[in-house]
Amino acid sequence: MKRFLGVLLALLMTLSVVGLAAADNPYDVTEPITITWWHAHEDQWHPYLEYMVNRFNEEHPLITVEPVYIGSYTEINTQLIAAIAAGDVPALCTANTSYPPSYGAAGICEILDPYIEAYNFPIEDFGEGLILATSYEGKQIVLPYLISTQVMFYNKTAAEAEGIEMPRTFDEMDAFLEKATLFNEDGTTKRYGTVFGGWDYWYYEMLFKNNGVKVILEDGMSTDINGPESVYITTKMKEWIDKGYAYYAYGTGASTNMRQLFWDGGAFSVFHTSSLYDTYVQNAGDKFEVGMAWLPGGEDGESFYSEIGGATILIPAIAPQKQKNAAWQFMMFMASPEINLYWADQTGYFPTRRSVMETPEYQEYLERKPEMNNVVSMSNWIMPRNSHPAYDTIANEWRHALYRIFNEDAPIQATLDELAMTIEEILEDY
Amino acid sequence: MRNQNHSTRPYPTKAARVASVILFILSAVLIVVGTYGWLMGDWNLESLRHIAAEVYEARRVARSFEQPITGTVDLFGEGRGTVPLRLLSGIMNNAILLIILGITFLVNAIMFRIQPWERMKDFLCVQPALIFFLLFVYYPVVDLVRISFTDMRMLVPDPQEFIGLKNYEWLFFKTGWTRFSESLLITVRYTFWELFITLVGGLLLALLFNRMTRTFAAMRAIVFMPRYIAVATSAVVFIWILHGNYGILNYVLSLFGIKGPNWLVQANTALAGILILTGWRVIGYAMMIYLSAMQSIPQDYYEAAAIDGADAIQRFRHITLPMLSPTILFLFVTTFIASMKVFQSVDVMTGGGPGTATNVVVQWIYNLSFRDFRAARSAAVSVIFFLILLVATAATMRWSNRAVSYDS
Repeated sequence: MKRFLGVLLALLMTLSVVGLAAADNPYDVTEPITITWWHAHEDQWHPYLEYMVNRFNEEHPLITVEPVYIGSYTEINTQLIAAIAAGDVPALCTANTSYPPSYGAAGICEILDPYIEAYNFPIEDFGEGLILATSYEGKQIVLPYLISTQVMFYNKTAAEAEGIEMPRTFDEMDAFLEKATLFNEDGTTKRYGTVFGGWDYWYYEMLFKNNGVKVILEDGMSTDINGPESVYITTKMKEWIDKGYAYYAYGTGASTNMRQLFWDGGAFSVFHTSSLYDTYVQNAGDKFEVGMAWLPGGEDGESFYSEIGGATILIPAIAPQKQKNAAWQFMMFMASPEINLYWADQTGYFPTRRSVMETPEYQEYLERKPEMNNVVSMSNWIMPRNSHPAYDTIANEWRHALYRIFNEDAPIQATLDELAMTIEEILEDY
Repeated sequence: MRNQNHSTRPYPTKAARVASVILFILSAVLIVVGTYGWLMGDWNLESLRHIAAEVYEARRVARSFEQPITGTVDLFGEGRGTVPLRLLSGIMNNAILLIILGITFLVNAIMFRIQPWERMKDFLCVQPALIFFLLFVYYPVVDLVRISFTDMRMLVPDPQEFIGLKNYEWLFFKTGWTRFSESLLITVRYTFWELFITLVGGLLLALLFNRMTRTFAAMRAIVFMPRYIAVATSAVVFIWILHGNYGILNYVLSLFGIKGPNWLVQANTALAGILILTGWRVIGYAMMIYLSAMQSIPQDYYEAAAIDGADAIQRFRHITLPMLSPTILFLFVTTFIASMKVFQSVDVMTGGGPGTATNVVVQWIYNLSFRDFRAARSAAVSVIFFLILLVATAATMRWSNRAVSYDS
């Protein structure tokens, strides 16, 4: 009897401690609530998104998440800013990995550290690079849930048949392009060696950065965009484009055009995002096998960096606390290992949790998608994006300058000098 | 009888004088309180910043816990002006409304002293519309000018700092000028072609369809129909029509042995691509306006000219064209203003690209605000652009007084 009472007492004590802990947690959800999640996931992913939201809603009877598709990452950014100005925000919002630095500087995101602490959320499981990429001044402001990086997709069937090896470093690009490019009898290009995604600086900037270009120097006031390294890379790219080895995809529908060119056999390889691996494979169908290679590294053979891409999820700081609490529950769910792997498997993004990578399910996933190994094995080289709040503005100016050089034959040095002036003037304001 | 009574009544009446005094007192209170809130909020006046900070914090807490704003603030120190924060927040939020109401009351106070009640009734009837205009049309313009002197950024919450003419210095003497002059030139080019399509194309179509038969009525309706379709919707359709490889336009051109360009992707054809959509949309509207004007030209003129031996070209030149000049002016002014402000079609079709090939001024203003988050710079560009449009329109109207014939 005594033993029974002892056990009962211990049980009651444990329950009361747990209960007290729960009651003390200011971030718990204690009453039914409906929250809105603004996202940028297109139609093809809606079934998976629906599955996850339904599952969350079933597992959390007090919370109902209503996902709303807003549009592209740019559109969702515009809408979020307008919503903040109006003081009427969603509880959760998806943001591209390029936005958190600006959002952090402006105090737009709820600081997640207290939530992480209150729930003992294993944030370290994301790894140092991802934590850095999703923090601002040491504070966690967003969680990564769909992560990708820049890669080169290529026609593996043609590569094997024609003995083409993907370039490991930038100085191997010349030989690679010469071999991968095919010309018609009239001298026009039949198959481009590669296509640079010129509609977004993210797709080509690592060619520069791996060769020593920093864009914004350490002093935060000056740039090396007109320096010798930058001029050299720009000159090489221009040379390849002029020779018909490479195609610079830009303008309306550039992304679609580039993909179609690849699937139609008009391009041997393309610079794009790893998240589209499944799309590339599915659309290539039986025509050819798609390979996925790491970006060519720096000429020194020591820099093989790439940058983080994809989506993060945030809670707007001005949302009511009850909404924030419910939103945090959904964030934890979205970043949980099981959902993390589910998302990765369905979409082509990487799993973001390290613990996922040790599971048998993940090994099975890699066996099904062996090309992912080429990227995952290099994942230590994935670094955060530039966290300067003006970087996006600067990089867009850079994109315009490159467009003028590649398409309007603007003089390289003079154009980059002019760009440097613009960049330094922008930096003066920050 | 009523008028006689009115004329013998002493003016202003006692009731009017009382109403005037009450309105004057109310207006003084509203203007003072509203200005106080405006200076504290939008103008971020240094001496009031500490009070504003308390209001912002109270708002943050209230929003966070979904409860009303609580607490008080001591306005003048030593407990001389304890005011609920909720009231102060309301004043800051509605400062402009209070000032406008105050001005309205002031005007009414004066009017009661100088106008008889019969006239005042008319004036009172139009006041809601006037307040609406002041609040939603003129105040935003005034506020735009204010913002252009601040460092406002879309992402950074209130308060904003005043930085004088720095944004204008950037616009005229730094890198802003390169982009502004480039955008302005693109906008002028676009406007020229839209004006050409509207004024010349519309007129040619109107001459073609100036027949009162059923067939022509149906054809007129078909030509006019694109006007009813939303710009964004038609822009999406035209992206596909103008697609370099799969677009129907290039397919049609290829039937004639012409290799069409990649319309929206090439810098030298992107603006032309947008103008194809514009032409499709505006030409029917211009035609209808011209047609309605043509219908009102008396046939006697043509008959008299025919008797005098005037041929079709002479009749067009000496009768139709002069009689259409007010219509041409109307179309010119409205099309000029609308085309200088072109945005939707550009945003959907090219986003200002490729490069900056179609970066019209309004697209640039939008990008400054929503891509670069530089709301203040965006406001500075808007103010200058507004002035350019104002001067251009005024000059056109002045010139038109000499050139347009209003003789019917």
